[in-house]
Amino acid sequence: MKYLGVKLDLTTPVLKDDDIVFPAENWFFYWKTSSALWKSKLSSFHWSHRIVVPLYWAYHTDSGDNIDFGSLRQETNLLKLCQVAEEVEKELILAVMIGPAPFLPNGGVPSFLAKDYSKNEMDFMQCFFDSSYQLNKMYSFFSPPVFRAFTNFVLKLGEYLKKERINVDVWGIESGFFEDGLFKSTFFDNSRVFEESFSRFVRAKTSQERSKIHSPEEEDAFRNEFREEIRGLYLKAAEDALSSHWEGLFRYNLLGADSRQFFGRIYQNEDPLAYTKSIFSAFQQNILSSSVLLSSTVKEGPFKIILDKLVQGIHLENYLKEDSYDDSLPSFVFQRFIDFIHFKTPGKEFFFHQNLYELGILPFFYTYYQGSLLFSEFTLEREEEEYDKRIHFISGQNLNDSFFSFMLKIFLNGGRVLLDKTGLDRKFQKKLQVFFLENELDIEQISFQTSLLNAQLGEGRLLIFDGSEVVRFSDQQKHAFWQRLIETFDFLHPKIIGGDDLNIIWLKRFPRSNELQYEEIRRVFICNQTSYKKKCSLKFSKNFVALKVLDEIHSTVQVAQGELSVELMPSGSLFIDFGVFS
Amino acid sequence: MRHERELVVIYGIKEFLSCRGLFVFGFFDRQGVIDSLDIEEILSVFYSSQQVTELMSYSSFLGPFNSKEELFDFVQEFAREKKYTRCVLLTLDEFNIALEQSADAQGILEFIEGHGVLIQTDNSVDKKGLIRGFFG
Repeated sequence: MKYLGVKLDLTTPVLKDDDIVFPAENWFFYWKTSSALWKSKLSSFHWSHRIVVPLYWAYHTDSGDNIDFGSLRQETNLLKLCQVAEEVEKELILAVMIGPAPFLPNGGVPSFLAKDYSKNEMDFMQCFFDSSYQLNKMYSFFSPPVFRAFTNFVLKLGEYLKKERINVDVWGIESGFFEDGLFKSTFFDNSRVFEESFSRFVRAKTSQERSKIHSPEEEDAFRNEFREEIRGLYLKAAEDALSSHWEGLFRYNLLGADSRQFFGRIYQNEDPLAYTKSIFSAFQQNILSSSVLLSSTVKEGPFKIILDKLVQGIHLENYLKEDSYDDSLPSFVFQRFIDFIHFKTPGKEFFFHQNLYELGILPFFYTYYQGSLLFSEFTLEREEEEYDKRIHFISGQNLNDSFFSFMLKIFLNGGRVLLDKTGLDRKFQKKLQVFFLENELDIEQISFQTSLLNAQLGEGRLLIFDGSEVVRFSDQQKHAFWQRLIETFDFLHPKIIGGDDLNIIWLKRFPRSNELQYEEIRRVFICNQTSYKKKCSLKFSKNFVALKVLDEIHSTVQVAQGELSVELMPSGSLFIDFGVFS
Repeated sequence: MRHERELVVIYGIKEFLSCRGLFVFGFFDRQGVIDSLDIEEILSVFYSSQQVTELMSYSSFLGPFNSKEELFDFVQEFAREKKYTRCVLLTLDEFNIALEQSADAQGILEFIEGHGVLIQTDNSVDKKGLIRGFFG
């Protein structure tokens, strides 16, 4: 049968049983199989001993008053599920959905609450295709009855876990997708219910606050503030109800969920190249990806390697074992050279990225140090962190008191900070001067293309530049400026020449007992998903030793002094390991 | 095998940044959404650079167009230039109904086929196509 020129199968595609219960990256859908089969299913999962179990809210309640955890249906018995997991030596992580979940019918909301469709910023109904092209429609989380029922659900869940003494971690999961390099949450809503709630929010503001709205942009900022506030309420409700189990909120990039892909998927057309780009954007923002919306037939070739080895094998595993004791061999984590930290202002992230392009620092890093960047948000929880050798890039434009203190803390703890003083408030300029005087720091004034200020304290370094001057440089000047500036930070790393259009990611780990001659092991993954043959070269200093090439697919490597030449055919990929000396 | 090249266009009235008018919300074909750069390139064939800037000035939408006829003409020229054999136009309301009433991808395609205004790139408008929603 043909519709709009598309050949459609009249038979429902048959999914393998494993794909149904383990649809993607360590996720287990307990409601898709009988509880009698849980044991055999869980024991057959060999990828990892840690398994994420998204909780399907609608599966546990029909009316909202009674929440079933096994008293009516065994398939809702979470105690049994956890016991079975323990028997087969698996560690479960339960996940509560904060906002609509694109992989569940009605977004996971019980049917008695499925009344008001959620809409995106373009006024399209928020819908997503699952792995068999069934349409899941999302409902607004801005409806007060949804909030009340959600609060009741998490409260009952918390009581149940306590009563049954179930020792399990619980995550909050916020679903979303990447569009134009930015993460968009499915919590976002523009529906009639949202508008009504927003009107009440505006009415509750004082007339003085209301008078601040003069333009559509200011109203948008107000809307974003409201969205964040409501999202915060859901989060707080879950956190309070599940306090002793609560591990925090994890954002998930669901491949195939973005609106561009949605239209292609109407025709059952899949674009693994776009999914790969989305995964790499998520790596850069340390957001987990999931292929739960994609059929297993899409997961082939380099895309499958990326999903298996990087998303599941490294990114998710590192998340899962973050807080648990682990005596296994040192494993790889992402290597980050620069962390572009921005203050979370919804709707403004685009301008932060645009500014980095105009400064020329992003094009510079993309040219030589692809796969080693991080974009992160400053949040108040971001207190304790390891100040490694990465550069922390901070823009002076939207600093507040706590972000400013955080920046000084990085420096005092031996971290490296690169501060663009453009737009830095006078208050902070004065504070900086006082800070330098109080700590008797030797401040070095350097003139290189523009005037720079360099402060050093032990390992810590604070380099201040004026971005408003740098943006006026020619592209060549910008390149020379960043090259020179980055060189002064002395980080040792192979440069990749000609890596445009290739997907590249850098990883690192501590050496194992047979590698103690090295300080660190670095691994690069290079993948060519274009339809052309691609070449690139890796230039490295004497501190690096090329150790081995792994999992070569349609690719060749030639070794020369201090250089590796890599040739990748379409769909080619490989890993290369380096030993690093100091 | 030659695949039919079909363009689907979603349009409607929208108040956007204080401008109320007729906008195109999205062009898509079986490959997904048509890139805005492609649209800009095509616009430059028919419009002056100033008009192109005006039409492309709203990041998410294309427009505003002065009338439905103007919008349909533009879509037809665009489809011809991009070698589409035909295009189907739906209002945003109609498309949302398609989503509401469909259980799967096939259902959406059936709805589009049955409810959209069909424009052949040889200028013939399919009278069987229905106009609902905003322009009822």
